[in-house]
Amino acid sequence: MSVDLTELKIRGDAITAISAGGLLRSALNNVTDRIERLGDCWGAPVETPSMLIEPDGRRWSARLARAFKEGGIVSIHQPGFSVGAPGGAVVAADTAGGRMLPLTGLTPYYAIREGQWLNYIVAGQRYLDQVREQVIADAAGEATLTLQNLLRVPLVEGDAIDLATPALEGWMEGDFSIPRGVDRTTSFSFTITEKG
Amino acid sequence: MPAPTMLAGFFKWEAPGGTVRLCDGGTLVFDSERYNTKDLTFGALSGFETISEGVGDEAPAGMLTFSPAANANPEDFNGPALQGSRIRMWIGEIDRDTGLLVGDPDLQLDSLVDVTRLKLARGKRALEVDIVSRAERLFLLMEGNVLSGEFHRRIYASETGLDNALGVPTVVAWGVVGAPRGTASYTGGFAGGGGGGGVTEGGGSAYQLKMAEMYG
Repeated sequence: MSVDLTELKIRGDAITAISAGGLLRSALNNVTDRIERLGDCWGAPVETPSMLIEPDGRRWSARLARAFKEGGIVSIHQPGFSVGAPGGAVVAADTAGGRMLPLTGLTPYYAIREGQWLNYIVAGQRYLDQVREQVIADAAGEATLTLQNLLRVPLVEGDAIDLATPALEGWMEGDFSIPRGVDRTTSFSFTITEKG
Repeated sequence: MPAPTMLAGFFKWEAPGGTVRLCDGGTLVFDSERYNTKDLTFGALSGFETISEGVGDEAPAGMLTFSPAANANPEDFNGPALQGSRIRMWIGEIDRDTGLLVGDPDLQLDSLVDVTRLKLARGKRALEVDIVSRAERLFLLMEGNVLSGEFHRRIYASETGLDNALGVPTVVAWGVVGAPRGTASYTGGFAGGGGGGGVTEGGGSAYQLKMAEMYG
């Protein structure tokens, strides 16, 4: 079970689209094509501001060290964007896959904006994705979204959708280190990648 | 405008402990069966060696590598019971919006498990699965029933008369005292073999010396 790092202060991150596709480029400089494969997901290098080693640095270093073993969940902040009141959105129908996501339980007429982040949560695991184009829920609070990536797990009716507090759940890459300066501060940087 | 479909590879292993269905990152349904990226025991398919096939007498063969689930017991994903189980692999096109397969996928591989190997290294646990073509069965030689002790006793359980008929040729040296049975050595005719006593001059020397002794 991943460690909750959603309260961690973030100085900067860079949400990275990890693509399973690629360009098919010829050695003869003729046309270039792009092939898409299943399995696109997200990752982010994350940096925290500096913090005093005692007590914040001590606590976060413990949680991060744990997250390096068990996986972590980092908030996806949307600076300047007001999510509003999306309501309790859930999946409206079983989906075989693909990037169409039928929702129900939204606040009537709630507008899901282009580029807004959301999570679908299956078996306790959060999957991050971005909305491809704006959709406005109807009077019954139903809408069908188009996501950037194809669904990575099958969804069944009633699976939870988190529009209010999207987060990235994944594995931390590399070795964990705790930099400690003579000014008794520390800061952390790590790269988190979705479990796929 | 990107193409409306994308390629997806998927894989089915009819293992005796339960069928394993895996696909490229994501999920898809083929033939009313669900394929996911991860199996609870066998984990993910992490790589495969190019299937080699040649003109002439070479049958297709290759190797698949799995990253078994971190908490799976080796006895659940490794063992001789897997041998001979069927592995198939397809490539299909997927509608990006609905995630459904478009048309019929192409069967790329239809093979049997040959052997499995569990490899351990620092920060790693991998299961290598050697596969051979299903056509390999055509190469099995059924040589019928041979006159052997094993076969004879299968029918006449109490008759052990053939047990000592091993079919192993016994070499009897001619013209010398004789090499001890079972240690006949063939380095250049009859040399060595315990009878010669240090005679090492070229091929057949023990025999030649003996002849020379007898006839001058």
